[in-house]
Amino acid sequence: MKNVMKVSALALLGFSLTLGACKKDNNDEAEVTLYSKLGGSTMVADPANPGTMIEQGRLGLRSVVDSTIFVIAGTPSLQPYFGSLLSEVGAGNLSGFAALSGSLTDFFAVATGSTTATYNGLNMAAAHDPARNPRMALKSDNAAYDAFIGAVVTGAQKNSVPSPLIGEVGALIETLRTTIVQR
Amino acid sequence: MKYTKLKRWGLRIAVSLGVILMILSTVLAVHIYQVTNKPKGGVDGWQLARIDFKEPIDSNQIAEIRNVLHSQKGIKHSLFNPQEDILVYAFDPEEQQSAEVYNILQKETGYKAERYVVSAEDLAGSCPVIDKNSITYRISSGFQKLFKSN
Repeated sequence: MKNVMKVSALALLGFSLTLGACKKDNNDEAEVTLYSKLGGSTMVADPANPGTMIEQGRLGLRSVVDSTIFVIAGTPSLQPYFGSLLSEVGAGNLSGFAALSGSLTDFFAVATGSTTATYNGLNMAAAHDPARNPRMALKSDNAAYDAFIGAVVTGAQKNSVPSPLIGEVGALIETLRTTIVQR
Repeated sequence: MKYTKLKRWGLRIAVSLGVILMILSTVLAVHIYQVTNKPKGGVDGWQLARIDFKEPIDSNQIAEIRNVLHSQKGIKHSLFNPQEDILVYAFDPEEQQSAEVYNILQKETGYKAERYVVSAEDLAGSCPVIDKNSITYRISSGFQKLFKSN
């Protein structure tokens, strides 16, 4: 029994060390990423969740994402791509809005250089390809992508993000155009 | 003799792996429990709804509409798109219903408007906010159902 405990402890330690080795060095944030320009990993009070703290960079991105989602929901040309945003759910279930807010914030946090966020969704090519994702009925075109970028810019302006940073966010999204626009 | 020793070690490794699996499953279950049972805040409980106005709405009318909207309970945030005459708002579904919001707005303002309801066709082809076929989603929703039923 003692041996079993020893082997378990050793195996668990080995597993933990393997996981630890995957963790990125926090010094990565020393290079000025867009995430750090938005406040980075400095912890601040989360205005939407009293009593909890949030990284300032994540808070900034989440605010922009949430405003962007409102703009998307009010833009008919984008509706075919985002129907689940306005679908009704029962009390206690995660709505399309809450789900998109979380996953898009994670995606932007990782893309802008957060060392603590993780994105577990589909990759951008697969997510926007109807052949690989049954929930995507039609491929995105350039007009829809332009409208999406416009919505993000409006969302950022509504949160008083400085113009140079909005430009950086826009440039970042632009790099995904060839992957996401598939027709 | 050698075979017995090998068998013993094999058993030890199998038990160790079983113990590790149990510990990791417990950690995952505790994590999901903490995440799904944390006090609701932020946008987690928000539901979006949309009302399309069928006549031109000016800035004074927008202010009137938003006043009526925000005087109702459970309304969290709203945005009016003046180019398209579309109102988008978030509400807490435990406190409010979109049909009720629409009825009150119609009664109080009288503007021609329609409540936007997503068609099954639109819903089937919408952007994937979550991959419901993924193993992660299935495991998480399984744990969530387990905790909610208790």
